[in-house]
Amino acid sequence: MKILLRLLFLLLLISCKKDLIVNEVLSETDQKSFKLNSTSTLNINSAEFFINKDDNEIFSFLNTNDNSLVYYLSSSPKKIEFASEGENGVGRFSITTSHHFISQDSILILQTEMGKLFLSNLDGKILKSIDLFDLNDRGSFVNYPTGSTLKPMISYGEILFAGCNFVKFFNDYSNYGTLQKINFKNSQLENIISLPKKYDENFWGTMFKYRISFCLSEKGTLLVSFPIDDEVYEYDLEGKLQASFTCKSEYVENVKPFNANKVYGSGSSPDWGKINSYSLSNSDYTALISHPNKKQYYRIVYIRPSQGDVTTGKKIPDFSVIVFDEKHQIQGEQRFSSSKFDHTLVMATEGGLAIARKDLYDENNEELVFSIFNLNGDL
Amino acid sequence: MKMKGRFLILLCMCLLISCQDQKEKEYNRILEELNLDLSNISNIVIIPNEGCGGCITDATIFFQENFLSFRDSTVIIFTGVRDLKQLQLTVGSKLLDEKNVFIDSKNLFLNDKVSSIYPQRLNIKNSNTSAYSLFERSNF
Repeated sequence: MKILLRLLFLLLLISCKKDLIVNEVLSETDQKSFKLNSTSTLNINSAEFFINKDDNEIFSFLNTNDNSLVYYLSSSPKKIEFASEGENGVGRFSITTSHHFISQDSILILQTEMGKLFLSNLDGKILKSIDLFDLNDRGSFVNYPTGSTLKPMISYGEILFAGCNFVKFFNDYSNYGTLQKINFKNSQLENIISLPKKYDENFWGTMFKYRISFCLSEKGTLLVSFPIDDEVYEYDLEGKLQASFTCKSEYVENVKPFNANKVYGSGSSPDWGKINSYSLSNSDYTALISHPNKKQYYRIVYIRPSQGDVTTGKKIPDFSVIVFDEKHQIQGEQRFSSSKFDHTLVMATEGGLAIARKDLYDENNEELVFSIFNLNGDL
Repeated sequence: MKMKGRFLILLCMCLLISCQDQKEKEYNRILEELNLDLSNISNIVIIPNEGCGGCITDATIFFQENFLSFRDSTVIIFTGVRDLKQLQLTVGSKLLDEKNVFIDSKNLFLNDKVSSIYPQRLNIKNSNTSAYSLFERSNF
């Protein structure tokens, strides 16, 4: 009798666990693997999947270790080494350098540390250089464009869109553009889209809490996300607001601001320890990316560790992905562990949502593996 | 009035010393946990993975070029290492393979009580921290 009761209890436990798993909206449907050469690591700050005119997908990333762009037409790497100085010099690649393919043999390289955008071919020959801002005159610009793996630059026709950081911290950013349009044909620059209303009052922490994330929609508009705001905004390409909708994560509580003074720190010494601790322990909407078919969108949420964990040095967040469709209908949200998945390498591919496997890289650092996820209903 | 001023200065000094003691205590607690042999060691240099890029590069290059002169008296600890392959590319296997070079795999030195975005130097006396400061080439 006792054995029967124990068995019944065990069955109940298993059934409860199953219920938890059923809530998952995404399933791993495939894996993509890329061989890493001896100088390539998981320390990647700029990467993208680009679909060429033959409908083949090219994965590429910048390698800061040897100033190269590594790209894959198959699972084996090809490499373009860039000169740092001279006629074809693009400077040293760093964590602030980003790249974007605009065609099979044309690549844009944004060198934030030089204030320049370069147009290169696949031989590493620089075809054009555009001055974006003058680093020697910091008073002459209020923001500067920069890209990253989770907040990549995107192009539409002759225009490159890049999210901006602000030059002066502890400032009133109300009238600053958060997105820069760079016309890479005629070199014209334009700043668009200011911070949403939620930023009008209060101070929200370090600069990454003010960083725009965006993607192109099916309609040729921009979908825009900000770290502390539950809303997703839709703008036309000129920066005019068209609509907005709520896309709230179950992991983002109603975030309280760090300080009620919007320009906290501007008049006195800011407490950087507290600012960093606050910023790293309050969850935020980190990125917004679109599937190449523009039918599915992924809002990535950093689920920040507790303040106690941050204090003891555990600062890497888990993350979740909210999926919504072209009609802005939320399909669901799924959590991912940062011990298994890399929280910085989450990208959209033709095959689905690609998330780099940190655990597999730790086992074999000569290979970069992405798990590909799709909505359960799409299987 | 003079007496009050002196008392306040003394109080401030006591507070400063007590704060410093707390930090030293934390360094020593971590060193104990790491269980390193510090019997002949006079300096420990803690190099973070992220922070002041120029300062981290400067400390790394200094020891890449000069570690042979300090190998018996100095311990180097790399903390916040996320990717061993990347560390090997940045620092080089030659330095990493030295007997007194370690990786803080539990990231104990990322603890907010002792962490820094700059490389740090601990003065070691009798296997304990007697003073701490930011790394400067001139100290070696």
